[in-house]
Amino acid sequence: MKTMVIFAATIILSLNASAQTLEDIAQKINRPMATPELMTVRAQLERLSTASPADWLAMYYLAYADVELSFRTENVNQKVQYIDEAQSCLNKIKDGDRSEIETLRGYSYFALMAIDPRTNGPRYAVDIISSYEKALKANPDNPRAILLNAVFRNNMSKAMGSQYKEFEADIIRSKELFVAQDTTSVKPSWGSQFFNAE
Amino acid sequence: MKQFFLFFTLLLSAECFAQDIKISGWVEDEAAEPVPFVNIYVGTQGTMSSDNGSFSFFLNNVDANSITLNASAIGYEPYSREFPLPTDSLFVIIVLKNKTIDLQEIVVKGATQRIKGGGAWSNLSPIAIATTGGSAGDLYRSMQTMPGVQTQGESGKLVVHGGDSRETQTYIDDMHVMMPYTTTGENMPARGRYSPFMFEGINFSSGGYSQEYGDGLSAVLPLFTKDESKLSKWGINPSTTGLAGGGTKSLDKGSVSLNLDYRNLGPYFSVMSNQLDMTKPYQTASAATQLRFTPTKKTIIKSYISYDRTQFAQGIRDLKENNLYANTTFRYTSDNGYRLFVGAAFADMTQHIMGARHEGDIYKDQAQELHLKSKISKRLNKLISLSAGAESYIRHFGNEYSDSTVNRSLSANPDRFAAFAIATLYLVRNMNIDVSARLENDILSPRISVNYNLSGVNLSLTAGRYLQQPETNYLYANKDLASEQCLQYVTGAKYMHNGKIYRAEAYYKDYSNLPLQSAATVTSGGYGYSKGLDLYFSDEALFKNFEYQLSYSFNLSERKSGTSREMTVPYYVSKHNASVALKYTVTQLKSIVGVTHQFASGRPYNEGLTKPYNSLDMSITFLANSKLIVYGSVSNILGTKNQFSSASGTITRPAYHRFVYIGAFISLGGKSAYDVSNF
Repeated sequence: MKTMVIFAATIILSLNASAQTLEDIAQKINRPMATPELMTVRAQLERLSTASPADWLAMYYLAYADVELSFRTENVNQKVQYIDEAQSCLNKIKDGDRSEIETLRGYSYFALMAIDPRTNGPRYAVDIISSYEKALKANPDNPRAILLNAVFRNNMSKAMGSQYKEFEADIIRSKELFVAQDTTSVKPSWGSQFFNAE
Repeated sequence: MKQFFLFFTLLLSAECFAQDIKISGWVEDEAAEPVPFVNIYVGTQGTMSSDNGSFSFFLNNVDANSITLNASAIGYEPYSREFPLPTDSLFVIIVLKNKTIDLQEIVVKGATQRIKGGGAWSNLSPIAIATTGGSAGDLYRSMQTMPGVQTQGESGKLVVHGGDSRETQTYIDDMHVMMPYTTTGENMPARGRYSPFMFEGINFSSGGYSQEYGDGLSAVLPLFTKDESKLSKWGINPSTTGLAGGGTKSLDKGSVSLNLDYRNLGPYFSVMSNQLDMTKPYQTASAATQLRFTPTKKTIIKSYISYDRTQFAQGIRDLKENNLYANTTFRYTSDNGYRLFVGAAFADMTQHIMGARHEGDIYKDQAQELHLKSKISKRLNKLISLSAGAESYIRHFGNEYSDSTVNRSLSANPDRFAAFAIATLYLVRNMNIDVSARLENDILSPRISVNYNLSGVNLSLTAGRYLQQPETNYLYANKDLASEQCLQYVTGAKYMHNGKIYRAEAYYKDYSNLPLQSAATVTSGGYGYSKGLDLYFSDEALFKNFEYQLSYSFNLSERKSGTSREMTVPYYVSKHNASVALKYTVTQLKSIVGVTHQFASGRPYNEGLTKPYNSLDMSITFLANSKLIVYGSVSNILGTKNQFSSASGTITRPAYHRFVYIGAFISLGGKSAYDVSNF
């Protein structure tokens, strides 16, 4: 009997497995992946967010995928279009985790700055810092906000021959928080790959 | 067990009654080229197109009567089409349209200077402007390295495409600025009243500009302040000429900014050689404030007020001036894409001069302007966007002079009323056509502009008529003077590639209705022409941290206007203008070094042409740390004894040949970094 139930469940579930769920996608998007896979995941997120516009996480992860893809494409026009789409997705989210949304917004501004640091640095530095500040105000224990904020401030200080004094403390704290986070849930858990950017 | 099998069979057959449909086909663009990596889907089910554009997937559990097939990819317009529910399969050829390059709206955010369609430069960086060699942080001084702009070392004002400085109008947030230049002593160049750092976007159109702007025969300089300031900050700016300070308080839905500035050139000119003959030092004190309020994401209200007082005495001439400018704008974007703009600007200038012509006389000059403007615009569909508006300039000018024998008073109220409509057509890919008209004081002025992107080269062709109120002194003599007119024909080509910008522009301007003075009579019988060629090249990619630009302008102009009895070359025009501007970032020294050389051929005066103008200028910006920036600028390092021609046909020489400016931007509070603006 038990075997029959399991068999039946497997058949039923397989019949419904043609569409990826947010849970499946969250497991993929939160870890580093190659560009072809990222583009596939982005397509799945686009479908999910179109079908469920009220689901903030689908829109959020779509924005994250766009920002990641902006770093990977060489074409400047495409970079800008990816980032514009990402910011448009973030602006559409009405209810969601504000700390995660502002962290990603700051990251998208950083992506804009990265297109032409000399020109866009002064233009977007304030937006980057302001977004990370808002993210940390909403959740001081957001490891992504702590890490990205620390890396940006440290790199900016280095370029000007000075130092961001809280850098080491922030890195240690964010590492601890990354280790402690639940990577099995649908909530954002990306970011530990940036430790290589120190 | 039997019951379980029955349940399972029913469940399985329920699944099977929902249809599985094969969706396949391919995706191509308008040139019939396959498009890979396109997201093709129905609901949450779908796939991506392969390298050859083909796709195939099975749609499961469809129990509706129709399906909506979607396709999307970066760089293309999204595709969505409803199909009746197929029986078992659907084959579709999807044609994706490239997103139209909107030459007026879409720009590459990576470029230092965003090039728009038409004869326009948009979103020039205030930092780039201020670090131009020898600019001393003055907006108008640094604009003199732009193509089409004539060098004016003695006045410091913008002279564009052979038209005098009156013919170029300045706007802040789309509202007119009546007095953009400071008042200065004789043979002393003016500066802009407003720091370039308070602007987020500096645009410049050297000809053929939009009919939204009026009352200018040559060019417009639209400046845009920041819509928001997300960080609170405050700082001070000490310099060799004075002290400024202020700050911004960021609020939940807006911000408040304040800046105070005091300049006194007395100490500077007591040590630097000059021929100013100042008996009282040149001083200005100013205060400016701006409120920004964003009640919703689609509404922005900004209100800017500035007041400055200038006083100095040069020889027997003792001048005192008060200048007030206030500007409030309201912008709103509706959910269905309508953009509404309403603005009001008020300017008041009063100037008292004792000893204007001789000891004991008194001269008073007054100018007031109320500018009201409203505009509505919308992109109706992929083919057309419309914009329409109306504005009025309510003006009063007054002039009084008295001495022991004369007591005269003059006034004029040359109000102007205008309505404009602009249609931008996107009929063909990579092309837009602007068709517009402006009805100003009963005169209809049409304009047409065609912009086309051909394999990355932006080509433009513009023709239009522009009007301007005659100079006030002529209006005092004849209040019924007709509006001055200029027909402009401008064609240009621009190409950007790999950090390089190439630009060429040719123009012809036909002037008419210029004031013509004979004894005490002034009529509108004057006329003239101006034609020329501008060339521009800039490169940011030759070496790391190094950029340079080369600019050359050729101009031929003649006018019969004012007191001229025949066609003559205006005194402010030089046939050849050229500049080389270099900028290098020395990372190890945390500095940006700017060097500029400007050349202009001789200008006409009574006895021929003046000597050619040469000026080697330099500036250094030192980024000491995130809270301190030190800026130094020297104009005419070599001390070249330049000379200029004047309106009276004589030669004039600047009161000083070299100007040195050293200042610091110190952030005292707040979390901003490397910020040179208190606004």
